[in-house]
Amino acid sequence: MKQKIKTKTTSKQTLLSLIILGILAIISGGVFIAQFSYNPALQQMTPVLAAEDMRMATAPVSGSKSLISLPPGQSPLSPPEIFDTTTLSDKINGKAELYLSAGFVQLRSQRFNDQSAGDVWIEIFVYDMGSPQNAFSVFSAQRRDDAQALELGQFAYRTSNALFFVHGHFYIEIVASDISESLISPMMALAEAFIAEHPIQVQAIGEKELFPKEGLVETSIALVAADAFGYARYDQVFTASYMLQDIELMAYYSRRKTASEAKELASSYRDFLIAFGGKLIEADLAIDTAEMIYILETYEIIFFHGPYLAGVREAADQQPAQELALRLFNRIKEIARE
Amino acid sequence: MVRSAKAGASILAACSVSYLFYDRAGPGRLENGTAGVQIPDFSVPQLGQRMSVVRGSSRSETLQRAIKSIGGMQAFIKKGDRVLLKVNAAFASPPMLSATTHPEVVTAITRLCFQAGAAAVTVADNPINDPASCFRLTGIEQAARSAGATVFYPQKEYFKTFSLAGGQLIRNWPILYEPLSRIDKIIGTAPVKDHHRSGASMIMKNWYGLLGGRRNIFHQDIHTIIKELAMMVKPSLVVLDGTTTMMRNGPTGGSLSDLKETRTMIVSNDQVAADAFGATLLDKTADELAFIKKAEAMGLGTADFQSLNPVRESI
Repeated sequence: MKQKIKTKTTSKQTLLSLIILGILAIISGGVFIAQFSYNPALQQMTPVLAAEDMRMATAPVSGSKSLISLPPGQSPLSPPEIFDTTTLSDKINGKAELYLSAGFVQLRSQRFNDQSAGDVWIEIFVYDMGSPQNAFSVFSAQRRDDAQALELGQFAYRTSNALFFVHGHFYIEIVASDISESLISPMMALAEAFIAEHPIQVQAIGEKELFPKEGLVETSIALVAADAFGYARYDQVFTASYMLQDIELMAYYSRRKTASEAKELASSYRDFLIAFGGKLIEADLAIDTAEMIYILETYEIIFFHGPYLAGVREAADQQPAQELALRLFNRIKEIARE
Repeated sequence: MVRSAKAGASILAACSVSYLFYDRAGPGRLENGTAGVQIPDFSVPQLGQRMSVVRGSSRSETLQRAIKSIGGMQAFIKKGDRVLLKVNAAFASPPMLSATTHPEVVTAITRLCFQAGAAAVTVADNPINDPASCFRLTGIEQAARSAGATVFYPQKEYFKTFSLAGGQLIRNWPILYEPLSRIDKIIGTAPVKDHHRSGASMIMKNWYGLLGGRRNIFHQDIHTIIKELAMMVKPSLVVLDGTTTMMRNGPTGGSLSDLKETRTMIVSNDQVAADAFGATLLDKTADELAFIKKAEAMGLGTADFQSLNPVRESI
């Protein structure tokens, strides 16, 4: 006959269990509280000097003293320096975030001297951004007002002391330590030497074709890699400025992975604007999916079509905003059909 | 018996796992400076809050006028004082790009300190880039030496562990302590710059150069670290150079087109007020820069620089 097993716990067992559970609860509470006083020093490892990592990363590249084959008359003034995602801020400090958020892979830099330039030096910064689109993003984010176009590629300009251009997945800056027209020639020679040494298959960035031409400020086209318009979920957003009826306004679009993602993101951005004081405006819009928001004394229109999320921002008046939104919508429809 | 054996086995397994994960060394610590150090208060409280703003294009002239108008350097620096001039030498960048303290400012402050009776002036920073290149290419080294100052190059053994009282971020962190340990007064000087992360880089942000280690981790909470830096250093005087302001693409810039001639020199012993004024040169307000509001809330100075009735002059 099977003996019945006594299953009832004794008071001692119950007490012991409660004590163990109590200890576990105290430990959990301690861990929970401790996480609010996180100390970065726990991640603090040597080196103490900020530049130590950089020095480790400045070993000559492949035994060469120069990052690239230099044009005649130029010679290196410093060893090549290489920075990756963890050391980029050792070179450019707070600007690193701009590059990191846009897909930065590696920076190589070096200072050179040109025989004809005396004590003046030229520094080249070669940012490997991983893709032409990423390179365009950091290029467009920093475009200078007094830019003069250069024949170095689809996206290139110079200012009084520097050249800036995109070459494939590279974004390149060549900066002189002084202002002189005579420096432009050696800087151009350096740029051309780099281009010759890094042949790439030209990949046009087609965003210029998507924005309607009328009223477009050609040089204003930019790609915001992350956190566009202060909204964390808006990334890879192309923007462009327009002048319509003497009113300046902005158009933008972003191609999402799916139509449903574009729709959901449009709705989410609308809610974001409303949460920050925006008001939904009843308007007879010619685009089925469009909504108009009035915020900070300007009008915003948000719409979607297929995988495209698009809109118009910062319009002081409704009418130009609606006109531009409709033109952008028609252009997106054309592109989508193609 | 079976239950006891099972319980014993469970305890043994738990202990074995704990032993496996046990880190005898504990979290990573610094190699040097096991004992924490303290930073003295270098301010001159009996002077009250003073501020002057002088407009002009010559840095040496506007600086001299600005300091004279708030009592002269002798009000802040006494005979025999050893002075540390904390410059911004973060980048190996030419002076014309205004990413670093201008050499003319270094020369002018150093000379004024010596005229006031300073026994020694030391120029220091822990640059982002290689220190030798930074001090040389910025022109700071030559400017300092020509005026009689000593340039202090950071070396590993000059850092000590520091914990800021009430600090959330600066805890057990290496700071460039050696030059701080042998001075009586500290003067901070920086150019006015846009900063991609914090919105602006001026006086308070410039103390960042006293930190060692992988300080870029603090960029994740940039406004709090700037506030804590202002808590860490209570300066005798600050000189904010707004002669040329880096309006965009900061803090490195790169093109002259990033700059604007704003022709303004700001001198104060209230670093919060100096930064609040500097914000206006960037076409911003103190309210737009969270670190200024945080520093003010900590009682480190006032963002309402008008309340100090700053002396205003033009040259």
